Amino acid sequence: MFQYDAMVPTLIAGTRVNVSFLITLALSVAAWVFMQRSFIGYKLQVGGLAPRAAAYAGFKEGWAIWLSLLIGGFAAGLAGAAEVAGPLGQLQRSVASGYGYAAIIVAYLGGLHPIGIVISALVMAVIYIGGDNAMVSANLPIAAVRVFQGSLLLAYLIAVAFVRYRLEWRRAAHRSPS
Amino acid sequence: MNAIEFILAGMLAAATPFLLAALGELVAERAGVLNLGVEGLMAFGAVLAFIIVYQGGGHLLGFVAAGLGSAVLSLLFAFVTLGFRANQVAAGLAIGILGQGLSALFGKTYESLTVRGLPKLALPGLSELPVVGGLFVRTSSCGFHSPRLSLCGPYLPTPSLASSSAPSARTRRPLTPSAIR
Repeated sequence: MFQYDAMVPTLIAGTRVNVSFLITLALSVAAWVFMQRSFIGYKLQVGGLAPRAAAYAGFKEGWAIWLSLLIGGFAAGLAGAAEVAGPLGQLQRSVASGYGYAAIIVAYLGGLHPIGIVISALVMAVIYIGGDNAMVSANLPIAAVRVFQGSLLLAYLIAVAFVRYRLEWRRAAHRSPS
Repeated sequence: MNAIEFILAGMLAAATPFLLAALGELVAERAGVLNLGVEGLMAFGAVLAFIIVYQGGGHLLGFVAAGLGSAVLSLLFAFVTLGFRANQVAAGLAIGILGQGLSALFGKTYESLTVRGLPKLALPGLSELPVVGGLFVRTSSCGFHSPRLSLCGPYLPTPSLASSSAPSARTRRPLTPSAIR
């Protein structure tokens, strides 16, 4: 159990929303500025999209890997600290298990964009909170909630395909392509 | 039994699930698909096999059912990633969550029950060897078949264009990219 002084101050009284939420939002904006508006971020993006072009431009690949891994580790460590010092308030044997994998899904759902993942993180939070609420109110086992979460994510991923592609019914070889 | 023998004895038994799961992942990766839902598929197969064996279906039926059941779940993964071109990483992790949830749901009533395990295999000549003998006693018969399966691995064809979105695999494409994106 943490001392009260060691905990992150709560933002809205009576809830578990704390200052780390504001820090997260600020960091998301900072990440967007860093990736979209700074030269270092540009070098990282070129390295990710076209490694050979980055090498040709003289951007150092090893340095980019070091930097991006350092930033990733920093953010992940901050997430763990915020979870322990915020809503949990104590060290448990397993802190936030499965959150890392969920975060990978969030990153991809958000289109690997700093502002997009804010929205997708909120969507994921709704799925998690909804699962917890269903567990309490409908007396469902945690396994049913996991099934619900998994199938909901799959349905969401399928729905994204309908956003990105247009469905066309065509009879093969009979009609000339319009 | 000293420490080295003890470790060696447990080694094959512990390596068997890794080997089998890695074999499945190998086939998928060679085809250009990243399947991160292996954990869920394994859990689902394990629960299916346990239920079948507990209900008296026998070990062979359990193995077949586990493989087929996880293959059906894998088919769902293929449906989402290949049919709908969804992101493989996100879909794989979602399948992992789904598989673990399904296995926990089905296996809830079978918790802390026991079934008769696979017979321990002791190879006549090898088991009496001084140090490495323990390697050949404690493994189940499943462990002896998995290396044989993995021999097929290197001979799988490597696709020239390793990409899930290679259109050659599909004659009819239900989804065509719109002109906007």
